[in-house]
Amino acid sequence: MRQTFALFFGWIGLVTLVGCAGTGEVIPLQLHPAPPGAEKMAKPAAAIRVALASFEDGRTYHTGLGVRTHLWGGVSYFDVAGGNPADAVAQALADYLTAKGWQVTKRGVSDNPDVVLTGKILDFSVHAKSRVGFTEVTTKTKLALQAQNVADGSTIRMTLNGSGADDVFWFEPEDAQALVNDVLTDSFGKLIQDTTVENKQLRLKSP
Amino acid sequence: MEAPWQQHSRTLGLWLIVLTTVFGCTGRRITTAVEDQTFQPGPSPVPVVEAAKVVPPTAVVPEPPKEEPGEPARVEEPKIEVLPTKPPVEEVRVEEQPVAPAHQPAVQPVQPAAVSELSDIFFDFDQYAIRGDARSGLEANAGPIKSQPHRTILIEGHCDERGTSAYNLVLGERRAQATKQYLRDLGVPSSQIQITSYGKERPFCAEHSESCWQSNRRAHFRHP
Repeated sequence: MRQTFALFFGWIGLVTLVGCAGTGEVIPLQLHPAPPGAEKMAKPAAAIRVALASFEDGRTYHTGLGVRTHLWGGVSYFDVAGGNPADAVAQALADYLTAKGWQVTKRGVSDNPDVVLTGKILDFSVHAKSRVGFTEVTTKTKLALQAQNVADGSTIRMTLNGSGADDVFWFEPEDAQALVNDVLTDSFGKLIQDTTVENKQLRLKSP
Repeated sequence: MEAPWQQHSRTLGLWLIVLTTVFGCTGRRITTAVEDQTFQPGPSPVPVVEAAKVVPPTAVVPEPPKEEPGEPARVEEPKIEVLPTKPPVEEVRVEEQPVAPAHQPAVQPVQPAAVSELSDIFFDFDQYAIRGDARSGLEANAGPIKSQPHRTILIEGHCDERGTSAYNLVLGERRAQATKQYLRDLGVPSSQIQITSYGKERPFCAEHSESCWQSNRRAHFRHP
């Protein structure tokens, strides 16, 4: 009995310490924030045409998103699939707004849009640090969004500062991916929550 | 030799550790804070295209004496639809190319008028596709250009101030190319058309508003 326990916990210890050593690989993260299904029908009046004009990567360091530090040495790197966070976040926002019932065209404003949406990534990082028995995953996003109403030229600006943290026993890349997507979903949700559509123009609920 | 209760308590303790390790640490924390939330009213209630008719204060006064004699109609050009006046920067550009001899207006009196008939066309933000409202303008421009097969025109692509200079230079060139292609489709020989791009370096309007940006996103026609 005692030998069985020793073998069991010894195996767990070995896997925890040795089996997770990093090899420097890049972990691609797919960004596809999904709004909660219940909210999808919450804005039927949002038949607003949005042209997602451009997103800019304004981060200080543009290489990757972050690092996974393994318990037994070595690191892996996080990056968005495709390697272009600006495009990935823009596409994620387009997908999110489309799921919310908005008509979004990416980089196409020839369809007489109601709103031209531009953005800048001020911060976007994902890190995972393995410790004994668990891995701590953290992410930070900071997006500066500008929505310009074509009809009257008015502009809405907001900076969405999102953060998330999660502790997992057995780290999988999907954990980081899910955390990032949840943070982006939460941030994009603020854009929806804090704005309202009046005569196909975007307005702040509390200017 | 351990007593049975000792073995049981040890087993229980070890499993408690395992369960705490697996489940005790999980807990997702997500927050979003909104900073710098602002609303800036638009410059005026008029539509964007209408704003292209606004003449900046500097456009009227300083530059007409500097114009070359071959293009006097540039100041008082009779364009009605979109752009009744020309930006002053255009006049500076003309001054850089003093090609007009003194007798030219007498020899070719019709040419300045032809230039003035060429109206600018405008583009959407970050786009170089020919808009629907620009097509009618280009169709109107094609006639005077084809009527003077020995004169070439220069199409200048311009952009608004947003984006880098390099990006806007490329965008301006694409606008000029798209305009040239559309004129070619209308039957204007390509040998008659030259293109260039000034990006965002020669704006028509210097304000930081959408109406002003709209007036800067243009293709402008002139004789080289």
